[in-house]
Formats: sequence, C-alpha cells, structure tokens
Amino acid sequence: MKTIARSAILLVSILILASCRDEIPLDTFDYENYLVVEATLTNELKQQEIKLSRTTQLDTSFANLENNAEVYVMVNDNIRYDFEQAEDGFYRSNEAFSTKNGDNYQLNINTEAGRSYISALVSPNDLPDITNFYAERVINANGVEGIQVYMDVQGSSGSTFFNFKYEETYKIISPFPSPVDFEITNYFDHPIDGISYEVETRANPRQETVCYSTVKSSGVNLGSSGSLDENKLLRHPILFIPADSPKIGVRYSILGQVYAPGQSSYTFYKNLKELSGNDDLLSQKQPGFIVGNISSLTNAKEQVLGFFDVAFQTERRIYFNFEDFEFLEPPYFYLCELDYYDYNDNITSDLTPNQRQLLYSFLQTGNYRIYSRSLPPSDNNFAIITDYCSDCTLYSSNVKPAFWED
Amino acid sequence: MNNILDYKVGADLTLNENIEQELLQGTGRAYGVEFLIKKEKGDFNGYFGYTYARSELKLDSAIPEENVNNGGYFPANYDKPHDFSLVSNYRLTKRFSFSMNFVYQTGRPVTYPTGKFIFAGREQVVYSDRNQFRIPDYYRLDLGINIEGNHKKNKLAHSFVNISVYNVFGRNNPYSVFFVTENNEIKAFQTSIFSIPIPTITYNFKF
Repeated sequence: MKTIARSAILLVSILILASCRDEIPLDTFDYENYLVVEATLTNELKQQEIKLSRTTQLDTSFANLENNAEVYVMVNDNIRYDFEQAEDGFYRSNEAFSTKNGDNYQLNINTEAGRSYISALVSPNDLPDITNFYAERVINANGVEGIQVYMDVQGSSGSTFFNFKYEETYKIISPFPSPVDFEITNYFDHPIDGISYEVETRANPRQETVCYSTVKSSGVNLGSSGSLDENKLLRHPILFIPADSPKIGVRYSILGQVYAPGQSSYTFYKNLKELSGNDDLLSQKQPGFIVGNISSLTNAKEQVLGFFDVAFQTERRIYFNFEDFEFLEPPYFYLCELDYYDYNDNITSDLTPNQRQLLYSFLQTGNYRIYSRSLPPSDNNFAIITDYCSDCTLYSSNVKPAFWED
Repeated sequence: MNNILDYKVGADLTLNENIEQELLQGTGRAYGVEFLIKKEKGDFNGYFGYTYARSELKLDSAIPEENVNNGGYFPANYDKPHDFSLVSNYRLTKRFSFSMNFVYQTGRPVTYPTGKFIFAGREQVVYSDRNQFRIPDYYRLDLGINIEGNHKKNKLAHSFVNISVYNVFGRNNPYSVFFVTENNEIKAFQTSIFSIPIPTITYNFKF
C-alpha cells in the first residue's frame, strides 16, 4: 500500500513538473504599424478634437503619435472644417462647431507620408435623456465601502445602445499652507563650531491653498436597454469611489455624459472593451482585429484602427463630499507630517541629532516649505513640511472652473 | 460547405445567455491528399503515413464589423496542413524487439497580438487577422524495447517487460499559446505537457 501511495505521489509530481506554463518573449511576433484614429465629435459648441497615433510594438512603452497630418471633416459634402495640429498627435478644429441632427459627417486624413484615409458617413442619433444621476453609499463586490455613482437613462427611438463618459472635478485644500517663502543666507561652515546661516522669509504671494483637479474618464462604459419598446436603462454604474478616497475630502463633482451610438460604433467599443480586459483562463474571448469605420484610400488592403463617431450627448452634474454619506474624513493625497527643528541645537555630542544641520539639509533640497516659525527675537524654531502638503498647484490647478458651485 | 459557424471578434461565451448572437455563419472548404505505406510481414514492419489537408473558412458579411479577415478565406482552428507519422517495429530475436514512433504535425493556427495602442485613455492590444499565425510545429519521437520471458509452452503465465521513452528529444511541444494582461502589461505564455523525456517500464503477463 505504501509503495502504491509513493508511486502515486511520484506520478503526480512528474505530471506537475512535466506540464508547464512558460513565459515566452513578445518580440517574436510580427509587428504591424497601423494608423489609430480617435475621433468623437460632440454637440457641445467647441473646438472639436481628434487624436491620431500609431500602434507600437508590444514590448515598447512609449506612445507613437502621428504628426503633421492634414485633417478635415466634411459636413453634408459641402461644409469643410479644418483641423490644425495643437500638440503632438492632437488636432483641433480652427473654428468651434457642434454636431447637428440630420447632418452627415465624414473624416478625411492625409498623412505626412502621403497616405489618405476616409471614414464612413456618420450621422448622430437622437439625444438620450438622463432621467436621474445620483450617488449611493454601497459596499462593492470586493467588499470595499464607498460611493457608487449611477445613471438612469431614457433612450430615444431608434437606438437601444448607450455610451457613457464622465469628468470628475474635485476641490483640494492644502492641509499645511506655507505663509512664507524663504532664502538661506550668510552660510558659514566653521571648522570647530559647525555651520551657521540665516533663514530670511517674506510673505508668500501665490495662491497655493485651494485647487481644483479635473480628470476625464478612461476606458469604455457601454450599456444597452435590450428592447426598443421601453428604451430605458436604470441604475447603470458610472463610477465607484472608495470611502477613503482623498477626492471626496472637500467637495467633489462628477459630470455624467451619455450618447446613443450607432450599431457599428457600439460594436467597435464593445470589442475594444472585451479585448482589453484582464484575461483569465475562464473567460477567453475570441481575439481579432477590431474593425472600425475608417479605411485607406491609398491601399484598400491597409487596415486602420479606430472610429470616427458623432455623439449627440446629454450631460448632468452632481456634487457631494464624504459628509453626505456619513463617512469619516478621508486622508489627504499625500502623507503630511510636520517636522520640528530648533536652529539653536548645534550639538551632536548629546547623542541627539544636530537640528541646525538637519534643518539646513532639508531646506536645501527645495522640497520643503516652512509652515511656521517662532516669533522674534527668538525666531529659531521651525516647523517644516514637504511641499506637496502646502502647495496643491504642484499636482493640481488653482484656477477655479467656470461651472464650479460651492 | 455552407453554414459553418465561428465566433465574432470579441465573442464572450462565459455565462452568456445569448450565445447565438456571438456567432457568425460562413462557408468552408476542405481538401487534401493522404499517403500510407504499410509493411505488415517480417521482422521489420510498420507504416509510414503522410497527409496534406487544408480546411479553411470564409466569413463575409454585408455588415463591415462582422467580416473576419476582410471576408477572405482563412485557416480554420483545426487546420494542420502537414501530418507525418512513422511507426516501425523490429524483432531482433524471439525475445527482443524494438519499436519506434515518430509524429510530426504543423502547429495549429492562432491569432496573435501584433502591437498595442492607446485608445480611450487605456492601453489596448492590436490582434492580427484571425489565425494568421501558427503555434510551433509538433513533433515527437518515442522509442521502446520489448523483452519477453522464455517461451516454454507449459508456463503459468507468459510475461514480457516493455521499457520505453516518450518524447525522446524532450521537445517542448506547446499545445497553446495565450496572452494575459497583468498590471497593464501584456505577457505571452505557452503551455505544454511532457516537455522532458518520460521513461516508462511496464510488465505484462498473459495466462
């Protein structure tokens, strides 16, 4: 019996050893360089934007943007809107325009390399109606507590599909604003007495305390009402915000946007989403080239990635913060702790750090700000803080958005 | 052949209640030729077989996004054009005989990612045309030796021992190549079984 058990263990271990999953290098696969077009015109009156890029090899990490192309949109074959390159890969229309119901739109691209591309004729679907846009306190599928933002939409006749986007804007208040700018002067390094210097301060004229960050949604969020009779979709999830997210610490706003894409637009985005998800072995999807609506005029066999879409979108904005959902105040974006230093401590022999030396080295890095200083004449005690905790403009903007309501 | 089914690009069949919506109908064609040479008698016997066989599919639709590979013919998932097998046995003495088995098959077709791009603020993968590439070819050699006991007529049991080695070359024959996105990074994996030579000993007896 023992022998059988031993042989069984041996057999199983051989099987485990013998069957294996090996990682193989990616550079063994052929690389195809395709043009990638990301273009969605909307009914918002603005300078419309189109992004052109190219595919890159799997093992590279840099973006490959398509520059110096001639880009224009034809409306009903008679009005032409030219697009000028604004930054690498991004083209903006010279004049502001908005898409209109019943019009046909077509995108034309002539690349620097002399290749021409054209999109299918696209016309916008009717506006869907946002019947409700709201947030609820939930515990999500991963057991995380937070806020779930939902949208209820009512589609118009003709399209049962919805494409959702959002734009978050949140107010930030620096927890340790620095009232002063400083400069270190009269620095001396004495061979025996150690260093000496003066910290000169003057009022900080900049507004670094209140900021507003705006982040656009990434990825694809689609929905379908499934039936034309009652063309509505309720409680469609837009975004989940964990309860400890610093974004909801002061005041948070989300602008929900939705439009009704056509069948081919919906299929394109659906495939894009299906094939970009984190794959596991249980849900393998049929991979393949994602067909869009742009083709090459130069070579009919050349494949082009991307989609030219015309979105007739509706939007709605809501505001909230952590208190509205009775959460505890979330932490700040960065860990903020004051460090206290006494300039008069210039001794190392007492087995505590030489604070004058430390203060100097921290202030010298340029990454610290003075939060407070004791009053003269004994103005030698400093409380310093990393700049990310006193100056929100380092990672956000101090310009208040026009729509913002406090 | 008409009404051959295959999946749409992006088809997801896991827990899908409307599987029919993820399928496409197309036409297929298959052709090929087979050779077989067999030697049954004598101390040295065995056979040699070679098959050339193609099976292709065409999914052409009036709706552009339901076209696969621009509506042209492409190899079906089970298309393995070359299949070669050689089996031989050699009886050295009445008690010792050797056997050999060699198999070669073209790797089956597969769709590979050929690049990546940024779209909707996320990194996305570009895949090749369907079944444009093939996983590495499959080949394997097995060798064996049979040692029989004495051939006395009045024995309780006639027995023989077989010692053989499976996959003598230790060839790492992948049966699938797949891709996983881990932390926004694309990784390629191949899975295989018995990528090392496997020796076996069997003892048989007849009574």
